[in-house]
Amino acid sequence: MIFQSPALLFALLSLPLVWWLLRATPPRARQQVFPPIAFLSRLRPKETEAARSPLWLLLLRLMAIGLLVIGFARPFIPGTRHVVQTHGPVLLVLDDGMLSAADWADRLSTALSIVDDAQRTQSSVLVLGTAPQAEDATPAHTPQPAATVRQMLNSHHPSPWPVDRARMAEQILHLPATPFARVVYLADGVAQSGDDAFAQALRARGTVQEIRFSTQAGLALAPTTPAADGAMARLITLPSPQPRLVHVVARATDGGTLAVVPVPVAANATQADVRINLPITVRNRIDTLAVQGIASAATTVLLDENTRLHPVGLLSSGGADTPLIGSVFYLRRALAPLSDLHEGNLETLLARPLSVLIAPDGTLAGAQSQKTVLDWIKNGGTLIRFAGPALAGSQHDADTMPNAPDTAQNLLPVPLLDGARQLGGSMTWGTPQKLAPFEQTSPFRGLDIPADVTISRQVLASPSADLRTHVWARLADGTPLVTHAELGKGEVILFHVSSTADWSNLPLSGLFVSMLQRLTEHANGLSIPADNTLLAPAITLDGEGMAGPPPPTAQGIQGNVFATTSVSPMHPPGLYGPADGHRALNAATGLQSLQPAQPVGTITDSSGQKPDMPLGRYCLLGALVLLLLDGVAVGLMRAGKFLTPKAAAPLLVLFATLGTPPAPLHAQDLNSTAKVPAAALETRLGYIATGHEDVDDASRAGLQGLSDFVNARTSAVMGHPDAVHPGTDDLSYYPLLYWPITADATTTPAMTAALNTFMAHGGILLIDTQGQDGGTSAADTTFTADAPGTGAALRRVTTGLVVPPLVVMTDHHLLAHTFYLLHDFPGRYAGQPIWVAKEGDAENDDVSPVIIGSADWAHAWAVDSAGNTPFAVIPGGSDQRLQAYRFGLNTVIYALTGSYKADQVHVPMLLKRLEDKP
Amino acid sequence: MSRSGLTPTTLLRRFFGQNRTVAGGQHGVAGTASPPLSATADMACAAQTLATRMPDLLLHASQIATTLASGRHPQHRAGWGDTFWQYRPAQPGEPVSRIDWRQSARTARAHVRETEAEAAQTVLLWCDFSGSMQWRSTNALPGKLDRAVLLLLSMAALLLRHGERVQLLSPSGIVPLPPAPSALERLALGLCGLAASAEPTSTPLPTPALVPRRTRLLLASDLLCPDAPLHDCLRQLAAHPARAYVLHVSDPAENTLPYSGRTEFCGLEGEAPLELPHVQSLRPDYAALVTARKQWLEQTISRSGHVFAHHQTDTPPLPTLLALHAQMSQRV
Repeated sequence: MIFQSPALLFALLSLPLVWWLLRATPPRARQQVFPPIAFLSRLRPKETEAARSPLWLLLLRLMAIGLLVIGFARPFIPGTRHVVQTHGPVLLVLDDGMLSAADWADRLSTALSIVDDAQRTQSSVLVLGTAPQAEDATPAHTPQPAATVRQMLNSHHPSPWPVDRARMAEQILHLPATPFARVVYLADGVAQSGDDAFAQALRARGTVQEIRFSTQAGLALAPTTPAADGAMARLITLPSPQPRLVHVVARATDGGTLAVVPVPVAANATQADVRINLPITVRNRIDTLAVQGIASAATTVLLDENTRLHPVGLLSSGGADTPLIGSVFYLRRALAPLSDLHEGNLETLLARPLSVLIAPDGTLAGAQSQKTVLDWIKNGGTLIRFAGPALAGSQHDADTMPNAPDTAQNLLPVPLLDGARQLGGSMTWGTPQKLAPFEQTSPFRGLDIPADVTISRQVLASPSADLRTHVWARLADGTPLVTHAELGKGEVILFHVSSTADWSNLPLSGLFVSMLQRLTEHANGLSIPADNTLLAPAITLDGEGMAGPPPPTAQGIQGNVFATTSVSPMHPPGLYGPADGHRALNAATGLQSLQPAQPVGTITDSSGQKPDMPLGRYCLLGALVLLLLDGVAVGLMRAGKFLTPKAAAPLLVLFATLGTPPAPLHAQDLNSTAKVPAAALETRLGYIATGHEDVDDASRAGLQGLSDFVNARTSAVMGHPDAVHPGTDDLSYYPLLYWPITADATTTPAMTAALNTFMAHGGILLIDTQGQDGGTSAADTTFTADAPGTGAALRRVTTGLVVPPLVVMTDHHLLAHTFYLLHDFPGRYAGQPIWVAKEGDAENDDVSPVIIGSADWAHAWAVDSAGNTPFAVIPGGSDQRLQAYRFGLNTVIYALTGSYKADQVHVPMLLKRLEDKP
Repeated sequence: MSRSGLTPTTLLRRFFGQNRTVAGGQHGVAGTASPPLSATADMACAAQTLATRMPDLLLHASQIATTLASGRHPQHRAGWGDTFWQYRPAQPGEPVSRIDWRQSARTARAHVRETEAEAAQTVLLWCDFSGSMQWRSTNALPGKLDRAVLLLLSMAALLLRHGERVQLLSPSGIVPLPPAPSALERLALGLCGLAASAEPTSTPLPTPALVPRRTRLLLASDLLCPDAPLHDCLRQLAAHPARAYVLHVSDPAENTLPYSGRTEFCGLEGEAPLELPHVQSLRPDYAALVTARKQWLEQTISRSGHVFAHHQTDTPPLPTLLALHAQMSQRV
């Protein structure tokens, strides 16, 4: 223990004087006015020892005074650091790459404390960051004074690219040969290829003290190709002996959180898949994935259009689904993992937005459907057709008709010859053809062609002058395999083989999947540039994962090498390319795994560099507590409550042990004496606690947002919402209870009885399944989240409830005009039906005691502590959220006023009657 | 403090002065060393409060007197003190208002009704206004002074109804009473005036020389004075001759000493403060002292021919008044 002002300790010499004073001065006697004092003077007191202070009181006071003196002398316990005695320059090597951002604050404070040490010994410091810097033209390779270094460190930020220790080894080797008194290395603990050279170079400079940080997470988030199981990214981590749970946040473009996904990382695992099971619509809105709680470029993944799933329509007819031989069987398997696949007939498919329509052979029959599809293509659609017996068998009069009208009429990119060409087989000389390599102008360029893909039958294009421009893929003999033609804003693409495995084995190969994927991307305006177009950086991430304008040193990347480019000072992670076709370059793209690095020097943790622990405040606090105790004891003594030291000692011990938490005891007393439920004092909304933390949080945030909205818009004053447990809590204070139904929701008879009583006395229960149960989902006109099991749960929990006959609510219902005049009642999901009690039921004053819906209102209403709305509404827009709030407000007014507003419905009629009277 | 000298306690007390506050007491009367000015101010304040309570006390006193007169002592006579003596013919020059017309109408001459000439006896009231009277142990009880004034006024009302003359005695002699509608109110006003001019150190006993001969003296006090002056005073009064009815008013706390722990006691009349340890152990001794003092008082007072009555402020005033009234009417 070291004192900052040891001179004050001389005050301790006064303790004997204080002892004498205190010893002789008893605590002041209680004063009492008493007229017959003359009688008292005649009394002879038997015992007089209380005139002296008891010994324990003396000791208490002496201890208090001693603590005061020591406290003012400002003692502190110095940290267990190596106290630097050596004078001389300090070499501080700092890992400041993308993996250091997670513990950057610790790293920086440690570095600063080292600089402080150097300043104390008047040494100069040389700081080297292992991450390469963009403008590292003249790095300061001479030790600088500590003050300069501190300024430099304070403005230093982690880089969004990995460290380059091999380069650093070079730099260290080229340092001037001045000896360093101390070499400190702040490592990030992740191995790299140049580690050996770096370690050698560093050790050559002196004894290395390596500091690692306990908070080191060693986490990186790398993008993966989207897959059907929802894996959108891969979490790469240093192996850790304990299993961990990492939360990954998916954010939309506007920053709203779409999902928070827990990712369990098994013990000693080096990677884990981040699976985000969201509906395609929501999933396509994900813009950024980031590890919750870590601000780092390495744990941030930007998603570009490549990772979006596009709506693809698959025309199917009867029997098309037959395994192995059905016309859509292979198509579906090829497309389902990569896109948002819809099947059906033409009307249902074209009723919704589609980017690609796939028509297997024989599905586009009939002039009317061809006309419909033609209009759709001209508006920008892409039609992919497959040949087959039906197409081969139809009559093509190629030589009579010009090319363009033919395309429009037949929906074929090129005129075809009649019949099909048979290649190979028992009766032919030829053998099944292989595919020729793709040309550079084709969207399939760069795809590897498996050697075993052969085509045994195809339809032939009619030879024409411009056939070559229409061909995207051809066979080894030059006949076209895939042709295309632009039609209006859209395109028609024809595979000259069938979509089943009878004409070729192409549908069985992985190439088929890749080709369809390329075509789908091509249909969305995405095409991988064949040329060396320079993609300029549009938005880049800094080391902490914050998006911003690109730094001046950032350079564009050529389109054809984009996929192989890894992040570097010249190419910081971010979005590259034009606004309509951003390509994402992520920091951890090339990262395969993280391995712990071999220590370079003596490993210490950062606690060796922690600041001193001041004790003065604790001493002063202790003195204060002791003085308070003294006051209490003296007060008790004067009141005559305890008089002898024997009786006082246990009380004092009791005080000392209970002295620290007197407040909760006091509060408990208060609670036990007068417990008025807060909901009785102000109007509050309630939600039924489900036991799921996320659901309950969302309910609370949602009702808080709704209460705020109601407070702002109406004269109703709502307090903070409460979580209630029916059956144990008194529900009679709440006008409205929000009940989110989870799949595992259960009720007890007590709960049901309490809810029945609640509804019978005018309470309103707003039941929300927060998404449609998959089994009960209606036609996919509007999107809702999948809430499996909630339908059964709803049936289960409402079995004992007295629920009146229900009807679907229309905008004629009272609920639609208690405050706002509403026509739809969206929550987080729009267009969901709401069930209310049938009107005309005189019971309960025609107020529906229960409102059942699945629109997930709580998430739409939710407002976090910063006033933001953390959950996006789907399909989105502030208008939908406003409507959701309005529905909530109407519901609250409905719960507060009952059928009062029903009278207002008749106002126009009443006015009309008044007018009719003369 | 038994141990005086150079103890730090005394040093500190001297250093910090004697500015201690008075805990308890009725009006926050200052302790020993407070300057006389503030004492006077306090007394004036006390007198003021007494005056504000006086109508209440008056009403209470007359109620008590009525209860006594009608309930306990039916007098069996028509008028208050003026008995019929004779009718005599009216003399020329007599005021017409003195003619008894009812009697005159029976005869031809005018008659004047004469009543019996009564020599009313004078009763002097003495109230102790010393500082010790202005105290009560708890706020639930009336102060000793209040109770003494109430008793005196009740007794005065009773006496006035019996036709006695009641006068007020002060340390400077018989007080000229200020004008007021009734004699009782004049007495009350006089008491207020006395209270206003009293000092905390004023004597609790009257000066016997100022008492007229052959009067009766109703003396209300807590008798917290040294024994010798009391004894002398009583003896001189008896020799004067005058008969004193001594009403001893005491607070219950003064008889029981209901305190405990180490306590510093201070008086109200300039006594030195006294610090006692473990007060509750002194209670039996104190009770014995009080009993002995009471016995001594009774003996001394009755030996010199006076009458002793005791009143404790937590008991109702009526029994005391009854006893006192019986004593007084016995000896008229």
